[in-house]
Amino acid sequence: MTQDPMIAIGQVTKRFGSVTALEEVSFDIGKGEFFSLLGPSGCGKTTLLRILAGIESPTTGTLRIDGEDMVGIPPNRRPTNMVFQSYAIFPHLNVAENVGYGLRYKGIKRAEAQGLIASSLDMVQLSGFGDRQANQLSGGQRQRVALARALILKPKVLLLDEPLSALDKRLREEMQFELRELQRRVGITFVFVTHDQEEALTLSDRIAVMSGGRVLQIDTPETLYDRPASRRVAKFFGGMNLFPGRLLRVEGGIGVLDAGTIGPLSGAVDGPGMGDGPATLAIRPERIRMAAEVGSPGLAAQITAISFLGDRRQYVARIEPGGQSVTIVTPVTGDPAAAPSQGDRVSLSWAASDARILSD
Amino acid sequence: MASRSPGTGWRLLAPALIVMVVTLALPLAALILLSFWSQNGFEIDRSFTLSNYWRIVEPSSQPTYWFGIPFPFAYPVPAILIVKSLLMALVATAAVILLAWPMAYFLAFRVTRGKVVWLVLLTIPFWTSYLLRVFSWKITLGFNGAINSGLMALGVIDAPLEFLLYNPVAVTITLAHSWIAFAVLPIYVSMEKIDRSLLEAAADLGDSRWQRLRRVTLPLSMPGTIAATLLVFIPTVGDYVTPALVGGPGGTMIGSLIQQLFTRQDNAPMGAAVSIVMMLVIAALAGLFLWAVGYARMRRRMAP
Amino acid sequence: MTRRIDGLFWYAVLFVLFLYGPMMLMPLFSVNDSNFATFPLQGFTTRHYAAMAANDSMMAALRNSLVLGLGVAVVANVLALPAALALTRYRVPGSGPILAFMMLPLVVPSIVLGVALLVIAIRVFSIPLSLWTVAAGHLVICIPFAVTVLMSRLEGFDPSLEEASGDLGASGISTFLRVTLPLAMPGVISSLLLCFIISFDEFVISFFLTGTQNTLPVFLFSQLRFPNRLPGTLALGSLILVGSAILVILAEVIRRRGVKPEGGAL
Repeated sequence: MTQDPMIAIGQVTKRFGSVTALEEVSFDIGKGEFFSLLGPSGCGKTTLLRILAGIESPTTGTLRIDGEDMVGIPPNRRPTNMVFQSYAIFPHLNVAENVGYGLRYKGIKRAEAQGLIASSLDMVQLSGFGDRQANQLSGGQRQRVALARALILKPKVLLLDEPLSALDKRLREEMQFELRELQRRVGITFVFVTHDQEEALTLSDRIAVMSGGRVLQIDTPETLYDRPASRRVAKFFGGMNLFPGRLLRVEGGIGVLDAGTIGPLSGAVDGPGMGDGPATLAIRPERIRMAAEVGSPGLAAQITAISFLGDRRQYVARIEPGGQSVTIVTPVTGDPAAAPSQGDRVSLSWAASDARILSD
Repeated sequence: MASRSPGTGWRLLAPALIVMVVTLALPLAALILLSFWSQNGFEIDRSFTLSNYWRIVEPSSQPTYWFGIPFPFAYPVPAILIVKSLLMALVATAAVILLAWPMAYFLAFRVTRGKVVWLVLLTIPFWTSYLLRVFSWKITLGFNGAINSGLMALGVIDAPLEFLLYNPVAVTITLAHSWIAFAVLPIYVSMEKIDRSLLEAAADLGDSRWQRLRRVTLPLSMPGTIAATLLVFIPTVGDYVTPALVGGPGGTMIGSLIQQLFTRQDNAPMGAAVSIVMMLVIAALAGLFLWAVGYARMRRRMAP
Repeated sequence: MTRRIDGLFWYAVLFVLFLYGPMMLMPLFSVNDSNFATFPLQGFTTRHYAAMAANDSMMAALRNSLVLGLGVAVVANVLALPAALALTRYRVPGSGPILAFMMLPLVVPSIVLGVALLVIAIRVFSIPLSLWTVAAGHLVICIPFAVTVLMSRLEGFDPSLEEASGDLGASGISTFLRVTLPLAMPGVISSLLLCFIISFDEFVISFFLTGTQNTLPVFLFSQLRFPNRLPGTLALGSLILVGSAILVILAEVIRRRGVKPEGGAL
């Protein structure tokens, strides 16, 4: 990043008693970025978000938002606002009172507040809902109220804690799109916590993949998907085929992995630094070529299951020596009779540059 | 809420805690201290002594008999009254649990509409004056009471039945009545928590109605039933009002002795010792009971 | 109200009759034109109520108990609300043992609480017995109830509501006034009512700690031995029964109304 970051997290560690929720986490988030914290539950992503909000304070480490030191600053004096997982809509107030809740702390007069509330509700497509009680709202509407309530205060950073997890699948996809649009329109930095990798890939400019209180990798969705830096990241973006083994040698960016009974497999190795030792070869199901005839070069396998996914077919094949299962996805094209069927013997291969050899 | 510091939490807790220490911990400590002193005429002798406790268990070669049970003590009154109070409380508690269980079952599984009305009906007696509830039994059972005068007016009997009031049975009935509504609630709550699909599953697996009751409802309602048992038993042992009002000379309990030692006999150290022995006996029995029914294991197993 | 009318239903009806039967005799005999609580009934009268109102010491005791109940309820809740907040919203080290200690009065027989307070008041601090000592005794038994009711109310709503308030710019006090207190209000009101009833009905502790000014239950207890005072006692007892019942119903209605609006979400 060339400009100054909006958020600078330095060596942040958080302990609850003997449990370490975050271990020396450091990274920056740029101005106007849609940044996601992705990981399974208990990985520390929500703790990190709550530290950004000031609800939790780090055990050690530094935090600067827009250049200002935030350690010791309570939530009510931070330039951040949050959309809670439960939305935290005040049940004793109506929609307009909820949205206008924080305005008095900005010194905004009542008359002016009315206009701001109306335009905020308008922004989240809830015009005319001001008099509704909180318990008369649907899940999607509650989320919009929470968004309006936070954005009306014009924060420098909007923090979102799994805001879509309470919605059903269709509404979730609709809201993903709206959220992305909203972020482009207001231009505020969004920090978005989720455990859903697809959601993170769809929405984010950049994603931090977290596990066990540490950040595993920070990258754009494309890079994370195609070139995960480690086996744990690859595993998290589901569907990858993983072959454990030992790295034998690296030549010209292509490494050879001894995968035991399966034999030697080759794949791309990123950068230097990978010596011999335990490693894993990762290959996406759609990058595997499947040839029908036995005897051609590649891994001999037998198809054990086929599922039809509309525009694609997914095969599960068992590699003959060793018995490891591999998933292959092929586009549905041409003559269905030509496609392999269950029990067929096939030969599997891939371009070495499509596979990646990862450290553990 | 995590970031809220323990310091602020302590400051919020402090006023209530200080009041509780002054009005609960200090008095109990003083009571314990007092039990190791002795009464010397009108004066309290402040030198440490175990004489009060010794007096409660001091053996004697000539046992005092109470209902044929020998009490080989020189001063058998506390021992006899503790045993008697425990027995009466035990009978009352057993009656309460046996009577309350079907009522709780009815509330949890049978009432579909108007549950609140039933619940309020059961709550009201617990909050209305304990004294007046006991007193109402005195009017009911008394020599000139409602039952006697009613039966005489109907011509069933000619003279009042004297055995109704002023005996251990009257005390036990009154105690049971006082606590019965209170016992329904915990049992009901633990039944209400039972997932209805468990009963459907049991039926699906071939259990009859009675088998479901015995194999599913009864074991799953045990935590509430155990809690109710203790909630009734503990205060019942040390009750003072009921024996004083409907017990008569034969219906006295350990609470009556404590009251007399503190007020009429003016032997506060002895009264303190008796109070503490009573609490220890209750605590020991409660602990024993929880151990016997395997309460800790039960709670672990049922933890969500 | 129920699916079937069967044995169990009749059992429940009998159960409630047993519960209320003896108590209902009091209002019945209080309007019976006789100085004895006996059948057959002699005819309707309100003279016992008139006699009760004319009994100055009874009215003084009633006044004492009302003032005491109000005072104890307010003080107990002023102490219990911050405590309940601390125990539900803050990480206080040792909160488990502290809570257990505060709940102790629920399992210690009240006669022990009474004599223990008597000992410390007279022999340690040499405080003369008065309504103040009674009030201290009532606080001990009211605080655990108030803390329990308030804690369950505070646990009943999402703590992120308070976090949201702070996040939107409110200070701690502002959050308490704008979010916590309004949401806890049903619990506060029912806790106030319950503490009042506990204090108003309490006998054993008051019996040991009362000075020259009687509380109503202590006064009633002294009257119960004298048969000729019976009618006035019946009248007052009936009024107390009805009053307590109304307060309980009120507390229950308020508590339930408070629970609803939130449950409706999502």
